[in-house]
Formats: sequence, structure tokens, C-alpha cells
Amino acid sequence: MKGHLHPLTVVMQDAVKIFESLGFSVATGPEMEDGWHNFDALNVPKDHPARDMQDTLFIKKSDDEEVVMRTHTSSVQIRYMEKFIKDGNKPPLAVIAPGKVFRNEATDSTHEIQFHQIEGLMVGENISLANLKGVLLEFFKKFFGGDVEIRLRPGYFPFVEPGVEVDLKFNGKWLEVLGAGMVHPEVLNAVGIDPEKYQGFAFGIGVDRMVMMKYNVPDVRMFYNGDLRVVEQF
Amino acid sequence: MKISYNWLQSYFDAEIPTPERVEEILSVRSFEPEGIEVVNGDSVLDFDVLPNRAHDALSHRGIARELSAVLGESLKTDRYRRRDVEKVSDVVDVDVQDVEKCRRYISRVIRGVKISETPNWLKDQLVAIGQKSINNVVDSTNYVMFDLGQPLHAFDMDKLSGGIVVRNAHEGEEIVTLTGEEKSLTNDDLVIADEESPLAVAGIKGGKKAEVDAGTVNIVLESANFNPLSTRQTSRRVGIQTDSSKRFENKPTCELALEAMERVTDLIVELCPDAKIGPVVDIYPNKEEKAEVSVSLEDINSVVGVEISKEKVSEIFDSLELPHTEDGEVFTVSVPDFRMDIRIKQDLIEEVARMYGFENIPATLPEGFYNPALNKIFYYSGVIRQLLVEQGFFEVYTYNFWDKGEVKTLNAIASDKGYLRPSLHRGMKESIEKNVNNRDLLGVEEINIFEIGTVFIEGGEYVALGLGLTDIVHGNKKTKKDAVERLEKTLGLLSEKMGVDITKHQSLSEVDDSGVIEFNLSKLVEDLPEPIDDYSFSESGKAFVFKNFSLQPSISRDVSVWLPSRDSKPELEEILSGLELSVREPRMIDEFEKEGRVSYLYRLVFQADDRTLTDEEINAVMGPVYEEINSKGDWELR
Repeated sequence: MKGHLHPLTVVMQDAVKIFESLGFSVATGPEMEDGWHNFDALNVPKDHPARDMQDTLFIKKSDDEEVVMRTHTSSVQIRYMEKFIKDGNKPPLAVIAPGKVFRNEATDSTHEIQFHQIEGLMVGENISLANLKGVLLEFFKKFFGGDVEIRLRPGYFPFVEPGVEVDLKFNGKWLEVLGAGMVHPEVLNAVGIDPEKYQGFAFGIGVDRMVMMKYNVPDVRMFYNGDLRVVEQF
Repeated sequence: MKISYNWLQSYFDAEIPTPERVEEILSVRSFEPEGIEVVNGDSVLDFDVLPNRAHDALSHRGIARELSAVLGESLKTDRYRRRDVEKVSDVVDVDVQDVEKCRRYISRVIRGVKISETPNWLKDQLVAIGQKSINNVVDSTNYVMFDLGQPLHAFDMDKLSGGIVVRNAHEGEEIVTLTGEEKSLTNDDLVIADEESPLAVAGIKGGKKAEVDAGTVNIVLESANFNPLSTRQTSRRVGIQTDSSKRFENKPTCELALEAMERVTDLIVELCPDAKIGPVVDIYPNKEEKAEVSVSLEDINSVVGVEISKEKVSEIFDSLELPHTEDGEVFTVSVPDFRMDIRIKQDLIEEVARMYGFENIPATLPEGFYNPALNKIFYYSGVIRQLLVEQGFFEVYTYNFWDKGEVKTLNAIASDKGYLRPSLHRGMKESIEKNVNNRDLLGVEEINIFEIGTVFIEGGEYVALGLGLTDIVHGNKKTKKDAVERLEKTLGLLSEKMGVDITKHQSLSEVDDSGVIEFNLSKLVEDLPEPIDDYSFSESGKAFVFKNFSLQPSISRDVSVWLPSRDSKPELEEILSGLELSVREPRMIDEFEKEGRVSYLYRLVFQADDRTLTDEEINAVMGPVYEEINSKGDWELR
């Protein structure tokens, strides 16, 4: 008798396959991250109100050292770009970072202290908002199967400018599914990419949310409680 | 930010669209809406104003400006008027001792105010957005804050001993706030004080000492600008967050303070017929710098990815009150004081993109020049997952947080989640315990699970692979042996597939008392070659609808029957299938042949959504089944 993959794996593997077909590599990185990769390099300076947008779980916090449980896998993109440049490469680059992230917040059916994200990044000489729209639309079409509609709205994340929220029309209703935007020049500067020459987009997909939407799973906590009555359905 | 629809309408001569329409318009151009509620006949819209715009748009005017830009309707300029009023020359001395923390301080004396109830037109608007009405003077300061975004404060002048000093608190200095809380301050906290003691925690909350109350006749108004960082730190330290502190934390322009002082004066003078006003005292040593930002049409179009005309861009800047000059195809914007967020060309591109309309931007795939590279750990994890599923293992994801470990978190959400897991053992053990009684429900003989997850040790982390086979520990002699064989076989297959001995760094005797054994996957993968083939997994295929399962206990029943031959097996299965309250297909546990007959053992599982089933209920279901089996001449129930 065969066993079963966990739904989060199923969806992450599907996403990896789809993004691979669109030219994206996969990057992984540490879950316990330093403040530089999780915040500063992403244009979230110390004591900026934007650091409050995410409830961070700290491991160390002093004036000269900060270690956190990563609040997003954008930190992996920073590591990826650092290495990419250090190895002597030049954009274009396209990468997704699937992985577990953490928020120090009360849990309920749609919030968990740990969940999964796929952050995506594409940098080149002429990468545009229209390309962001194109890539996301293509992803959702393949992921959900069939025709889908997406809509961009103004949003704000310190690491992108312009920043957008992306809604997906699902069962006739617009649902907010992810945040995205054009990579902020400070982020490119931080990893040694010339923002006058290169530009690109970034996005962050909530994997748990995608599983819940695609398969109609009612509670995010079902993914982490080890109950095989959930897993056996996938 | 709560926005009263009536208040918003007061900014326009023309009738604005319905509240629902306003919400929709602004949601795709400006801010995310969080709902509309009706309060006393007014509609209150709520927008999530994020940090980039909190310096100007936590105000009715900020939202009105956005609406004006989208609708192309200009804003009224005469919402406030100053009636003729007697002037006095009174001032209070103001001494700003820390110009880093207090970037501007404007004060004005008003004599002869009459404290009274606030007129309804003003009160209703404040109440609509969830504010409590206090009195005409305090409500005026609040109104202007929610109108323009500038926090203001009024002190009872006759309660002051001497002039006003803006200084750091003495270590341990105390203040009783307007709402009666006693707060102890530190030398890092800025206060507004008189010559004796603090009157307010600067930019955060007023104190009891100089409170404006029913007996107040003369007031000192404050319109200041406090440092965002120090305001935020003090607000955290004393544990008080207010509409005022929230605004200062987001760095409103210092230029707003003077305008707000004049507007609140207009309002107080209107509400207090006998008021006499003094001159403004304005301490503003370091004037804010004006910003100019340039962007070319080419940059705009390259980032947005669509051809927008020069005229359209110019029109958008005009609609947003962004004065600009054009040199060929380069725009230079003289950024108005209220748009502190516009500092680089990307900020201007955002303004163009959102006002042009994201819906008008096409979805275009980028040119294909990317060669995706494979990720080693993701690749090998995929290989392992696939093999383990083939071997009958279920995958679990368990929590990273435990009550013990080598790495401690500083701000744990719960006392039993204060540490990062040093291994996968505990989570997997809990999963095994949770599932072991559900074996029949799951249709399995034993619980075989695996997890691939990060674990944390002093000074680092690595990815671990955990395998859990319950029967290694809990099985009987035979199943124990089977489980050990299964583990050995699985590890053999894994080693073969990955090309490395998976037990290289590990002894098989390290199975814990739940049947869990763990491997350092990061270390194993280090020695492996970079993958060449594509990922081993493929797309999962079509979605299905997840089935909610009952959380009630289940009951299992075994049925053992002698059949004359294997040919009768389908008939038996049909009898056992689809029974009332059964939740799984009948599962064959055993089959053997003896003296020309075949013995079958099937397990049935029953469960209800809403209750624990009783034996009687199951007997009632099984009765007819037994009868039917007995009615077959050559079948025999064992």
C-alpha cells in the first residue's frame, strides 16, 4: 500500500514545477536568520514602523546582533542574489524560495505561528509590472487549472516600489492572495546589483492559503497537527 | 483609518459617489478597504493605511485628496473660516531643550474660552469614527487631528506654573495621564512640562495636571512635531499608544503644524464667542528640506511595461497635486510637503502606475532567457519523499516549537513553545500517538510516518529526516520483526536511490521509544553530486474537495467467514460494503485456505459525525449482515 505526501508538499512541488517551466530556479536557506537578511537588506531599517507589520519571533536581540525566525523567505532571495553576484554572475536571474516562515501571533483557523511561503524574484534589464502580472496569471492558471482572473491593487511592502496586492477571482469572489511589486532599488543595492541598470519584480505566495483554497481545507492548523486523516486525502 | 462619509463629502462641492462606490474606487487606486458600517445615518469607511502613507493619509483630507485625484473633482478650500476675533498679546514662554526629539513646537494662548458641550455637527462626526466627545475645546483639537492628520493638545493655562519646557524626563519622574494612569518615565522620554512637573508625555498623551475641564477659561494650544523614533520608543516603554503617537511615529511633515494651529484656532473661536487669541509662538530651528524628484517617461514605461503618453503622466501628476516641470521627456516634481513618501523615481512610477490603473496594464510573459538550476536539498528531498510514499509512509509537518531545546526564543507566544526543536522526535511521537488509535479509520496496520524538517542546535540548524514505525516498539513479536525489516529495506532503498549509505552517520539502534529514528539530511546531501536530472516529482493533477472528517471515536468490527471458494469473495465484499454508519470500504485483514474452503477476515469501521456510537447501534447494522451471510447455504460465519 502506498503512503501519502503532505498537502503542503503536494502544492509546493506543483508550484516548483510550474515556476520551473517559467524559468525559475529553486533556492533554500536557513529558517533562523540574521536581522540583516530578514530586514535590513530588504529595506526595513531598525525601528521603522514597517518592522511592526510582521510579528517577529526573536532568538537574539541586542544592539549588535539580531537573530530571528525568518518572517518571510525573502531572506533566501537576498542570500541567493548575494551568492549569485559573488560568483561573478550578472542578471537576468529568476528564483523562487519555498519554505517555512514564522510569525509570533495568536493562532486561529487562518493564522499559524508557522506557515509556508514561496517567494519569487525575477531581475533583468526590462522586467516590468506587466511581466509580474503575466507570470502570476500563468501560475494561477496552471495551478488552479482553467481560466482565472487576477487583479492588482496598491499595496505597501518596504522591499518593493511600486508595491501591489494581488487578488484572485475565486468562485466568483475576489480574494486577496499575495503581495508583490517591483524590487526596491535599495534591495538591489544591498546585494550589489546596479538598480540603474537592472530592475525586477518580487512576490510572495502563501502556500497554506493555496492548499486551503484549492482543496477547500477549512483550518490551517490541520497542516501541522500530525493528523493523518488530513494527509491520507492527498 | 475610519473615515466618515459625511465628513469626506464636506471636502467636495460636487456630490461624491455612494460609500460603496467610494470604497471600490479607492481600493483599486489607493488603500485597502476594511469594511463599511453605518453609524447614526452616516457611513463609516475603514481603510488600511500602511506605513508609506500614514504620514498624510491617516486623515480625512488625505483620503479626500486621493478621491479627488481619481474623480477629477477639486477639493474645497474654504472649509474653515476665521471670524473676526479680538486679539491679545499674551504668550507663554516655551523652552525646547531637545530639538532632535521636538522638531517643531508651536503654541498659542486663547483667553476667554467657554467650555461647553460640543455642537452636534462636530460631535456626530467624531462619534461616527468611534471617538468620545469630551468638550468643545478638546473635541476641536481631535477634529483637526482626524481632519488634517496633525495631533494637537490644549492645556489649561491657569494650571501652569510658569512657562512650558520641552525636556527629557528625569529618571523615575512620574505623571498621571488624562485617563488616570500613573506612569514612571525615564531620561529617554520627552515630556512637555511647566517649571515644576510634566504636563504631558510628548506626542503621546496629556497629563491630569493641566487638563482642560469645565472650569477652564484660558488655554495654551500646542501644535508640534515630535521625532518618530523617540515617540515610538517612549510609546512602547510606557505602554500607551494613541491616535497621536501613531501619527507622530509615521513622521508627518513639520509644515503641517502651523496650518493645523490656525485651523484649530478657527474652530475654537467659532465655538467660543468670547475667545480672544494670542499670536503663535513657533520654534522651528531646523526647517524641513524640500524634495525634488525626476523621472523619465522611458523609466516609467519600462517599469510599468506599457506605453503611457507624456500627457497622461502629466495629467496624473496634476491630479495628485504634484507640481512638475518637463524637460523633453523628463519630469521633475517639486514634492509637496504632505507627500513625504515621494523621494525616489520609483515612488513617482508607483503614483503613475496606480492612477493609470493596474487593470490597464497587460499581463505579459517575460522573454525566455532563464535556465532554471536544480536545488540540491530540494531535489534529494523530492527523491526521498517519493520513495517513502511508495513504501507506504505518510508525510507529516510538525511544529518547530517545544518546551525544551538548545535554542531559546526571546518572545515565545506560549510557555510550552519557548524553544526551537532540537530534533524531530517529539513532533513525530505526538503524531504517532494521535494516529495510533485511528489505524482502522486510516485503513493501515501500523503508523509509518516521515518528516523532513529543520532542527536547531546550539549555534546552527540543519535539515533532518525522521522515520517513525510504531510497530518497531509496539508491535507483537511478528509485527516488530516485520517493522524492523521494513525499516532496513527502506533505508537500503534510500541508500541505493541517493547513492550514499544513509546510515553512514547513524546507528540503527537509535530508534526511540516511539519507533522514530532521525538522520542528518543536510550532512548526507553535502556528499552527494549535484543533481542532473529534473526533479523526480511531477504535478499532482486535478484538485478535489477535501472531506471534513468526524472527530468522534470510531468502532471497528471484524467479520470472519468461511466461503466455499474464492469465487464468492466479491459477493461477500458487496454484502459488507456501503453499510450504514460505516466510513471505509471493508478491509481484508486475513485470507487462508483449509480443507477446500477459504477463510476471510474483514474489518469494518463505523463512525458518526455527531456522537459516540454504541454497540447497540452497530449490532443493529450488523444483524441483517449476519443473517444474509447465514442465509447462504454453504457459507459459515466463524
